[in-house]
Amino acid sequence: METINNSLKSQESKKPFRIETYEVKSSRNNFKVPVVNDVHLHSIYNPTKEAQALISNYDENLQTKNLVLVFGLGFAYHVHELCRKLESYHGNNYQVVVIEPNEQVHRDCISNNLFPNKNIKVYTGFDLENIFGDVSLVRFLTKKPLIIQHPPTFNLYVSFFKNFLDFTAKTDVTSISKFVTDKSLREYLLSSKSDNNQTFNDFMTENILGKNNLNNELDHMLLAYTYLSNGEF
Amino acid sequence: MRDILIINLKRNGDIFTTGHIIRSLITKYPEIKISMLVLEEFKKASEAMKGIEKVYTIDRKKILTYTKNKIFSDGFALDQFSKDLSEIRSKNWDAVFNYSNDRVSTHITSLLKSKSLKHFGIRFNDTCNVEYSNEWAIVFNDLVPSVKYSPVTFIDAYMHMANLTPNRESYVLRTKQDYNEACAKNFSEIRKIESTGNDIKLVGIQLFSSSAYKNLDREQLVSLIDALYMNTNFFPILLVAPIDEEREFAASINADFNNSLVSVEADFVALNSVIMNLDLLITCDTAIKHVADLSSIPTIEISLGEAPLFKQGTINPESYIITPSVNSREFSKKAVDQSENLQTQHMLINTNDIMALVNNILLAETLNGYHFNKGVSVYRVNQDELGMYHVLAHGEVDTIVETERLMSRQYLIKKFTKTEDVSYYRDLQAMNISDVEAWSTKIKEDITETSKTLLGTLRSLLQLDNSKAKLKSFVQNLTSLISICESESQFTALPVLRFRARIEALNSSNIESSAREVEALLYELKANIQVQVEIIKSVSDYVRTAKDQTRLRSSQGILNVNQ
Repeated sequence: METINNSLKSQESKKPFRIETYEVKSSRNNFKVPVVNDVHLHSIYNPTKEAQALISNYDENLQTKNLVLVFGLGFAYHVHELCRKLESYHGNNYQVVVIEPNEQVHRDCISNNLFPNKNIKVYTGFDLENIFGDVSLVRFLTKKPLIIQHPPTFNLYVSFFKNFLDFTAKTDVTSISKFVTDKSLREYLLSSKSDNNQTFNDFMTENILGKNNLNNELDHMLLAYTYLSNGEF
Repeated sequence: MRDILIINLKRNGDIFTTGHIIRSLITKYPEIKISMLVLEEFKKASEAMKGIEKVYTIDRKKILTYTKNKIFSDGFALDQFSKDLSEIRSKNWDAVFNYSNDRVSTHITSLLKSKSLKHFGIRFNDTCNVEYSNEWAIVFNDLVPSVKYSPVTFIDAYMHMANLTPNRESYVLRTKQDYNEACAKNFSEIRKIESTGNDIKLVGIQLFSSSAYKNLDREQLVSLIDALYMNTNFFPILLVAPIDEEREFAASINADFNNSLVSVEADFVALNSVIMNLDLLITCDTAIKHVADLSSIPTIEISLGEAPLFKQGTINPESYIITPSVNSREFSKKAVDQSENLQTQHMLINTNDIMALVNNILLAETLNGYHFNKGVSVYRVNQDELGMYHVLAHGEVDTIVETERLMSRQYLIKKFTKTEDVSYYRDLQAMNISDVEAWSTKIKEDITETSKTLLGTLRSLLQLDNSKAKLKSFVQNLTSLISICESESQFTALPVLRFRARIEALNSSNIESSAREVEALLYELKANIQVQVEIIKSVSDYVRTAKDQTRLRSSQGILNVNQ
C-alpha cells in the first residue's frame, strides 16, 4: 500500500471542511465504524453487508473495467468488497485509487487492520493541487477508470469532491515547469523576465516566436511541442 | 554513414513506404544502424520491418490527453514530450532523415542539428527559415504537396533526396518462422481442397481502410467476393485486422456465404507472412498495399476518396490501380468530406472491371477489347529515369490531365537528368491530338506571361534604390510572379513553386539586403522556364507529326477510294 500524506495542518486555511467531532464506534456485528461530525461512514448494523450491496450495483461494469477510482475510504469495507470482485474477474490485474480527504480516517483504517493491502493507492488530504500534481494519479486518470462513490463520505465532503471533479490545473509557466523533469528545460521556462503568472502561450509568443534568432535548441523543442499539442500537423 | 535516424511522424502506410529506403540504405551501407522516430500509435508498423535497430516514439495520444483535459497540468504533456525525445537528443547521428513533411518533424530535425553531421529533407535554421538538404527536398516538401497530379511518388522523392538507388531484391519485412510455416501449410491446404485439377490462385481482400470514403460498400464487396468464389481458378481470403469492427464485418460477410469463406486475422508481423503467400491482393488505399509492394505481390488498388493515387499508389509493375476518372477526383480529405459526389464515387467501380484485372494479372487474359465502366480509369506502373510512375492503361482518358501529368514528369526528368524521355511525347500522340495541341497553345501563352512577369520583377529588382516607390513596384512584381503558383496548369506552376520555396527560405527578411540572392533565383527561374519552352517545342513537333500522319492516312484513304 502506498499513501500520499498531505499535511492537513499546513493546509488548514484551504480546508473547505471543518472536522468538529471524530470517533470510532462498533457496529452491531462488531465492526469498527468511523463517525465524523456525527455522520456514520458505515452501517452501524452490518458494514460488510452494506458494502456488498453497494459494490453489487457495479457488478456489470467491473467485469470489463479493471481500473476503479473510489471517492471515500472510510474503513474500507466497500474497498475490500470491490477488490474481492475485481480479483474474481481480473486476477491480480486491477488497480484501485481511493480519494479520502480525512487523513485521520485513513490512519485509523490502517491501524485497525482494515485496509486490504493489494493494488490500492490512497490519496488523502484536502489540497487538490497536491493530489493532481501526482503523476501516477494523472496517468491513472487518463485511462478513464470506473468511478464509484462511497455515499456517506461523498455526501459528508461534497464540496471537496465537487471541487475534485471541477478541478482546473494552473496554466502559468511557473506551475507548468514544476512538472518538467529535464533541468535545462525547466530552467529555460523559468528564465522569462515576465511576471510569474505568464501563460505558456504568452511565454512562447514573447520568448520564442518574437525572437530574431532561435539560438537555443530548446526553442525548437518547444515549437515542436506546441505544434504537436495544437494538433497542427 | 553508420548511425542514422529516420523521422516519420505519419501513419502506418507512410511508415511502410520507408521500407524501400531502409533496404537501399542497408545495401549501400552494410554497417549502418538505422533508428526510427514515429508516433507511438504507429510503432507496430516500424517494428514489422527488419533492419531497424531501435524505434523511438512520441506518445502523441498521451500528450493530447494531458493538454485537452483541464484537470491535467500542461506540464505533464511537456514533460512527456521532453522524455520522449531525451534519448535521441543524447545520441550523435551521422545523418537525420526528415521523411515527414510537417512542422513537428522539422523542428525536431532542427533540435538535433548539433547532434547530427548532416540532414536529409528539411530543417529550420536559427531564423526559422527552411534549410533544404538538396533540390529533391524541395520537390518532396513543396512541389509534390502543391500539385493535384503529382509527377513523382513520395518513395522516389525520398530515394532521390538521399541519393539512393532502389533495391527490390532484399526482403525488408520482419516475419516469424512459425507464422511463415503455418501460412504456407494452411494456404497450400486451401489450394488442394479448392482445386478441381487446376492451379488455384489465392486472392486476398482487405475489407477496410482508415477512411469510409476510400472503401467499397458492403454490397460491392459481397459481389466481388462472390465472383472470385464462384470462379474455379480463384479463392478469396478475407484479411482482417485484429479489431472488433473488422472482425464483426468479416463475420457478417462470411455469414452470407454460409461461413464457407476463409478470413485471416493478423497483426502486422503475421500479415507479412500472409501477404507473401498470396497470389494477388485487392485493396483500397491501405497500409497493406505497401506491405504487398515490399513483398512484390501484385495488387489491384481501388483508389477512392482522398487516396493520394499519384503520390502513394502501388509501385509494383505487376499491379493495377482502378479509379474514378482522376479529373473528377479530389485528393484532400477536406474536399471529400464536403462533397457528396466525391463520397459516392465508389459506385463507379464494378465487379466485372475488377475481375477483368484479376484475370489479366493471374491468368494473362488480354484486356484488349474489354470496356471498363464509363468514368473509370485504370493505371499501371512503369519505370523511367526518375523511378516508378503511373501510366494510364485503360478506361476513361482525360487528355489534358494526362498531358499535364506526363509533361510535369518530363520537366523533372530534364531538370534532374539533363535528358528527356521521348516515350512521353509518343504517349501524347496516342491521345486526342487536338486537346494536346490546345494544351500546348495555352501553356505557350502561360509561359509568355510568366516570362514577362519574371522580366518585370528582375527589372524592378535591378532598379531598387532607397526609394519606397521602387520597392513597392518590386514587391508587386514579385507577388504577381509568385501568384503563378496558383495557376490552373500545374505544369506552368512547377518552376515558380520551386522559386517560391527558395524565396521563402532566404535568410533575410529584408529584400534589399538579399537582392543578389533574389536576382540569382530569378535567373534560375528563367533557366527553368527555358526547360519548359523546350518541352513545349517538342510537344508541338510531335503534334505536328501526328497531324501530318493523320492527313497522310486520310489522303491515302481518299486516293484508295478514287482508285
